[in-house]
Amino acid sequence: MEKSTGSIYGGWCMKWFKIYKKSFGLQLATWMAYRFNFFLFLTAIVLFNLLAPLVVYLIYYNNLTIPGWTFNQVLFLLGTYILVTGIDVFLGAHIEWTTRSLLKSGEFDKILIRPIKPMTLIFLRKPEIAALSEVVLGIIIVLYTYTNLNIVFNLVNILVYLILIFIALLFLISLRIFIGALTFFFIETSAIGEFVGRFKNFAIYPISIYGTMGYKLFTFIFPIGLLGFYPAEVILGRAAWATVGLSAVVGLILFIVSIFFWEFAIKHYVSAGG
Amino acid sequence: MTFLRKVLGIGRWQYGFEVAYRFNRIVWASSLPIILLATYFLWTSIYAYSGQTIINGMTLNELIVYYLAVQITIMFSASMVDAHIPRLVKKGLLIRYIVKPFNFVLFWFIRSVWRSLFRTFAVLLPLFALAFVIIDFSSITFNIPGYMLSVILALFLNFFYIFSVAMICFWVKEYEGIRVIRRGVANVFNGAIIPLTFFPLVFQKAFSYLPFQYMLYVPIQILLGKYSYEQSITMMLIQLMWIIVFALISIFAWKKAQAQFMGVGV
Repeated sequence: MEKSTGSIYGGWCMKWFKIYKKSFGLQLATWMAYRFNFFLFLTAIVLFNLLAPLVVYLIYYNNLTIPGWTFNQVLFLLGTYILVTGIDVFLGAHIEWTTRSLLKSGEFDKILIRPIKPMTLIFLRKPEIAALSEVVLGIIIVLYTYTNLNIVFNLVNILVYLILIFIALLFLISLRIFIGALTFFFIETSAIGEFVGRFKNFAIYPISIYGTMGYKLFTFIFPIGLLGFYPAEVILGRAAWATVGLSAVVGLILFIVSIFFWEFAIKHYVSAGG
Repeated sequence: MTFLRKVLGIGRWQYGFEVAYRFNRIVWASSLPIILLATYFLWTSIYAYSGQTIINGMTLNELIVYYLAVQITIMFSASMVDAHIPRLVKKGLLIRYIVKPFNFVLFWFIRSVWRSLFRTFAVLLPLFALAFVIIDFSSITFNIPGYMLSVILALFLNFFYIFSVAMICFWVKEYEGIRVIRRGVANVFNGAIIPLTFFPLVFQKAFSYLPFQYMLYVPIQILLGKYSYEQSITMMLIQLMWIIVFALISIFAWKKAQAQFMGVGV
């Protein structure tokens, strides 16, 4: 008797969930082997993520202003950025990191012989647990500033905010997939990762400060406005819906293209073994 | 002569690391101006909106030069010593270095200096390619000799400070968390993220009693001509004092660490 499509997908999901649960447990156990180090790492991640809010605080402390934005509004943007990038590191960092380390050490073959698609396995096998502190920090900043902003509750805006965060996450993961795929050609791609990471820094501040060119670039070509600026604009009730929608579409297209690029790149893999 | 040959040998060795993945290194070097560009846009909009030409004693032009100098100074004075030694200790590979006929601390210092020179050289071109577009250098009177002297002192200070902290790795099972905290703390207190004049006065006062601002902020202030001749000399003497403090700690800690170290298979 043939299985229905629904039950096949259900089976896959259960399999993925089991792998993810196992991987999460393993990663947690690895971190817990050095508990003090784990605690220091969490503290360090929080500390690093507080640097940008500190700069913003000092700007406003000196009676200066980022044009068009109050302190709490910028902080809300930053909180959203920290939340999105935190989830990205938690879920997607190893698409880039593991691919690189396995290709460099010549161990990628062991991913290929498993009965699961290579990218799915890489995605599931190593959640970056330490990044959860970044996620928690992001949530705290977002909730704290949301209450301080005295915004009238608007369910539609909150739903759109959450959808934008999801698309921003897909966009960030697409960047990881692109870099991971480039590793099949260049082997050492850590600098490309750094390059992209530095570009993401533009999203820490409102993209409106980068002039018309920068604004268009970060909306329609490399949509890092989705990481904080547009979600914040939506919550503040001043978003240009068409622009937000177009930017989100660009983010989704990049995600789809990245998957095709990965499939293209993996065909160029040459095993180190005999 | 033998010493010089050893120094050049370490340089050749480090050069091998630096050019191992050339494409990767080129991408890395060309990514550094991105931070400067983001900072430029941020502060240009803030200065324009405020209507002020001088904020906390700095013009916009000086502030952008400040951030350019931050990148170059960090590149020149940074040390990777606490990324390498803890890894060697953890893997039991430190023995390879201890048995070499060369002073251990001196070896890592020379390696750090070579690395700094190669990397500073690599980033100068992309950084200045952008800087010449966004900065009006003619409007600032630079104290370049003072900066050169102070930044060399900063190189020594950074190395001995980081080496001292790295010695903790002999007593803990995992060092990486301490390294990340060490970097984060330095970034706040040394003026890398924002000039220290933007902090409340009480913090500025407190920072002057810590070694961090002498690793970055002070050399840059000397470069921008913010200190008089006498003040510059005083600052460099304080740098020298901190170098002596951390050099002594480094030597003492290294002696203790050797007693603590257990090499695999020795």
